[in-house]
Amino acid sequence: MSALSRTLYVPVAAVRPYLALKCTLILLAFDVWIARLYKGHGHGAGGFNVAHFGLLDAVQPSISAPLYVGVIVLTGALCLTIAIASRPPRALIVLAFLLHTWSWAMSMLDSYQHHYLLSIVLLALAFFPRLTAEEALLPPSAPVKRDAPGDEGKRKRRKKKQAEKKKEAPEGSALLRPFPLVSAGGYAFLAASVAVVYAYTALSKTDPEWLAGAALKSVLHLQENGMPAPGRDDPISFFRELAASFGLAGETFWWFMGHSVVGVQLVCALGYLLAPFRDVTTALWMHALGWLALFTALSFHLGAEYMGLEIGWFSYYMIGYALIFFLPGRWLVIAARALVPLLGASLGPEVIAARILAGLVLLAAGFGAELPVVGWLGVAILALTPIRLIAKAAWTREAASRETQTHHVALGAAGIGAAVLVAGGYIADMPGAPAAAIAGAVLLGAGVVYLLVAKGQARAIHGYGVGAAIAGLALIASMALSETRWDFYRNYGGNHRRLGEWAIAYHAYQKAVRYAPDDDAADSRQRRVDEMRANIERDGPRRP
Amino acid sequence: MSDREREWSTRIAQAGAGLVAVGALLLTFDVTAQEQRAFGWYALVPGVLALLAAGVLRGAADAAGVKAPPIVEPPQGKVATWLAIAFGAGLLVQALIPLRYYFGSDPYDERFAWRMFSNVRVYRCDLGAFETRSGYERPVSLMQTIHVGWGSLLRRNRPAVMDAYLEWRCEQEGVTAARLLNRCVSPAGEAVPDVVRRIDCADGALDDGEER
Repeated sequence: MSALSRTLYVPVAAVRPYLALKCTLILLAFDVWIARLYKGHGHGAGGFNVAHFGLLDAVQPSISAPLYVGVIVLTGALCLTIAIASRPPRALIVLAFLLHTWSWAMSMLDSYQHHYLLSIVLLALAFFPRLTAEEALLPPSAPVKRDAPGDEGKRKRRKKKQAEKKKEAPEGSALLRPFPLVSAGGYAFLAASVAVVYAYTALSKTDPEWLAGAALKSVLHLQENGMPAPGRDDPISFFRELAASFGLAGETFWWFMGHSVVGVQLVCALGYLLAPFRDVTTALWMHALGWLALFTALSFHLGAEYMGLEIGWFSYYMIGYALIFFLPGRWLVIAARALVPLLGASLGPEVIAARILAGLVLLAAGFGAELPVVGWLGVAILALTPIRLIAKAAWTREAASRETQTHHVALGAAGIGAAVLVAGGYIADMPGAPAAAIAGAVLLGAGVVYLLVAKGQARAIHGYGVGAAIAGLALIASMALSETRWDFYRNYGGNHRRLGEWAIAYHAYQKAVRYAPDDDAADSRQRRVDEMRANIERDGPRRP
Repeated sequence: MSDREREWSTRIAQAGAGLVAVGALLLTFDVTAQEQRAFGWYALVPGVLALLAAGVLRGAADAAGVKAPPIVEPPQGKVATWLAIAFGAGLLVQALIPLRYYFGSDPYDERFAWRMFSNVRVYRCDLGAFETRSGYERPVSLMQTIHVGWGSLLRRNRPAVMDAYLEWRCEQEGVTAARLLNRCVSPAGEAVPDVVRRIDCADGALDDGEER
């Protein structure tokens, strides 16, 4: 094998690409629904739009808020469905890449650079190995060889062999058993892509005003002397006090901060470029560098969140990638074995105990630290654990009879998934969401037909059906538990009020009143609705 | 062969670490003296590159010694070659796109250049929009004309948005010319050249000019 092949296809713990794929897709689904969907209020307002690329301006349909919302809803539903499906085809990840890329590229109103980064990530994910949870997390057996649909005999012989191997496998803690390796060129490509981002970020911060700290003061909305305006909180009080304990104060502190940002980016870039070797290298300095990069990346992105920098969910992605790329493979496997339910496989009672413990820790930490997403993740793990146990028992008992009913069950799952997704689109009550949900259901139907007719794989349909159903429910939950609809409709109303579109503003404000938070401003919101109604009565649907 | 690679890698890593240490020391002098002599970067960056080279050399050598077979084998033959070309081309494109900013003439369009929170991004700007009707130029209320998000992009001197806005104004009845004037100061409080974009609706000709 050439040096290039050894570098590009260096074996990595299978859990890394598996987690990178699943976590990105799940996080992206909620990111687009909770943090991005409401920003569609400005798309197409006043009939003005500029796409990121001139070519797109020439070929895309007229941009509007419903179109943007529809693309966003469909992107999220697709991401969540393929995250839950067992071994999604690359074509679906490419479709997610195209939808996501169009969602930001359609208008320069969305100029967040991390949306562009996520397009690169999705493109890299399309080249990741297609692994089931069992393949990625269970102790290694033999290299994966895909069977043709009709090779029942081969499959049975292999299962028998694997069962014999399992019997021969050494006893020991199920959590600590060896983890499988994969060759994943896409993973190395993703690591290098992230490194490019950090390297250029370092370059951009070598500007004299950044090195001297002036730009950082401006980013943090501080005064020229580096202090917050009277009456405002100091967003960097922690860092200021920490630096002061080392004798760094006044302008020297700002010079230090400006220079250290460049150093941080360089360490992260180097760390990501060498991350694919994390599981094979025996060099102590490379392991130390991995830890340094992890510490640096976490401190930088947690620091950015602490300082309240407005970068959407970018920090969450980068914190996740830092953990996935830099933590030792064994740690990741233990955590994933404890958290991810594995179908038809048992790792023993300690895994169930670890899963319950992890659920409790997440629940306590999430609700204790006012991070409800983490808390709800703990609740979900706690709820899923007994459900999985019951499902596994049922699976074993009913295996024989289920073999004959697979087609019915698969079609039932797909039907329920499509129905829940469409219901989610309507309940979301956002313009464009129902059309997107119907498009998603049609896509699911087309996939079902393809899997049944072309591939004869009924069982694979289950994952997509369940995924679509969960996507529908998650969409409803995202709308109900966040202020997305309130933010969208109040801004949508405001935009059209300023532009003199009284009728559109009136309907938007009515919806805004429905989804407004419970606070003291209810009267002023109702006054807006009344004002728009009066304008319509006076001028008609728009300002003359 | 592997032992030799490991030995070389260790030497390169030691040299790289030395350069990084020297660079960090020189930059510490810069910070304490509050001067931008920048010599530290000339040692630090080559040091980081040396560590990268050492890491790749060592990682590739160690990868050759892995005994456990991967559960998904690497692609072989032409597939492997084409994939390597695709990954290489993808990385090259990613590395080249930001250079468009650094070697280009437009300091304001920072898209795809990974310049989050750059000093340009935090310029404080005062934007004026004007249009000529019946021979008289009047200021335009952007808030009542265009979505507030586009106003922010105009304030950031995004050329494509400025041009599209001016062309769009020419489509409005009675407008014979339109102009945007953006006056900015840097985070350090220094005035930067004004950005002016004009359009003559008769022939659609756009002209730019930075004037002070």
